[in-house]
Amino acid sequence: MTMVHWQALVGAELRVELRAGEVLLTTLPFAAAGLLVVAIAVGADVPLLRRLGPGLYWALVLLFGSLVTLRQTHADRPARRDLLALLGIDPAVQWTSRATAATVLLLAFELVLAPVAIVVYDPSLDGLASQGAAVVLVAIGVGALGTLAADLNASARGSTSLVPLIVTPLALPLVIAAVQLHEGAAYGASPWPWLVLATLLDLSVVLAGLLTARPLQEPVT
Amino acid sequence: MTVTRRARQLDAAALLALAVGLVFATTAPADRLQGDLQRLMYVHVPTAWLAYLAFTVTLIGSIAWWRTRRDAWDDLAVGSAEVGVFFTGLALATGSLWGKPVWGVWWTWDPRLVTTALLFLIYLAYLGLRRGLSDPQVRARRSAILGIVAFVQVPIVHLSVVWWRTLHQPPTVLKPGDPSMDHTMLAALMVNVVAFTLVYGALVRRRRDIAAADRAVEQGQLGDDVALAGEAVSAPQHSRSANV
Repeated sequence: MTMVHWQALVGAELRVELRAGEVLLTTLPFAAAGLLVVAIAVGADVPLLRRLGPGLYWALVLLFGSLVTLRQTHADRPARRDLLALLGIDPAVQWTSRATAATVLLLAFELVLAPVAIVVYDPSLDGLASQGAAVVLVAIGVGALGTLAADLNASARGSTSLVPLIVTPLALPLVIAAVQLHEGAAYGASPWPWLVLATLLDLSVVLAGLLTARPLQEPVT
Repeated sequence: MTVTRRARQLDAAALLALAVGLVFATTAPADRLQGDLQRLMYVHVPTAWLAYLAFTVTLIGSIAWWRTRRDAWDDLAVGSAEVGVFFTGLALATGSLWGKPVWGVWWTWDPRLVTTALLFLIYLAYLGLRRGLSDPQVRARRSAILGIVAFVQVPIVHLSVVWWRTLHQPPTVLKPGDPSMDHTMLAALMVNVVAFTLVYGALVRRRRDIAAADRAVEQGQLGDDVALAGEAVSAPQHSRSANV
């Protein structure tokens, strides 16, 4: 039953995004424009652009990723939460479904943005397997952290600026791991320490989200 | 809000200890290489220590609120976080002042500096979150969660100089074995640590009282005998309308 609830809630979130297109049609073009504008500002220094590219890509994923979790078209509204609570849907299932939807959208965001970064910055493509793992781990981590931060800031004044303030410092180890995986691949370094770091952070955030889902659920109004 | 005798005693003890700390800091021998610049350590190290202490107290207050739901723990958590943010900012500022003449830069991408700046940002977000929520129960619940989650940054800051290659010196006092510094300097440092800790205690105590008074105002529990700001001013009375 829990699985059915989870599937239905994730499906609802993704259908709303499919209709509104806020992430892929509004947020993503801004991130792509960011990649282009920085490249233009740096100029035709190809070696420098090659060095900058991966770090800039992950920085944009982190900054715009926290906006993905804050999207205005989020299906989660107080009335809907009340309805789900009255229906007896487990708060942990609600939290997991929101985090999963955010992760799926972030994955799509990363995968569409990556070719733009590759074309504009021409970074080395060594260690594709570990880079692929980084894409997944960053999506999970930022998705879960953003969902947790959005829950903490729900109905708070100024939540649009507070969520990035919480997500960015806590997600920084993920960005460092992703950039170091790219750097290390160029020198044949083992990717495992960074993959373990990112996995541990993801697990901690998911655990924190599951444990706090029930206490964070407001009483039905 | 009345100031208790004990609060006044704590304020006086903090001021006295600060004065003694200042004497120790100025009379301790100067560093052989850095000269008087090294005396900034007598402010920088205590403020960094207080950042750890303050956020640990916030963690304890958050956990205790979670277990007991008593407002006093929430007051302690927020009071300590506010004072902790102030001292973290001061640690960053004094570190930067010291870094310019010694390292040649105001700021560098050093793991200890970056993790401390992130610590500062997270607890700023904690304070921002509290200001954004008007319901006291919701505010206490959510900030308790963030107060617990954010604490993960504190051991990362302390161990950053061990885990990564860094310009910042490794732990000198908070480490196993004998502290690796001259004992006269260590004594001056310890006196200043105690003095700043007393200042922290006095500030947190005052902040807790303010939080309790804020809550009393929110809940309309202030007694008639309590003076309110602005109550001495009254609206002009029109005698003609009063006669009608």
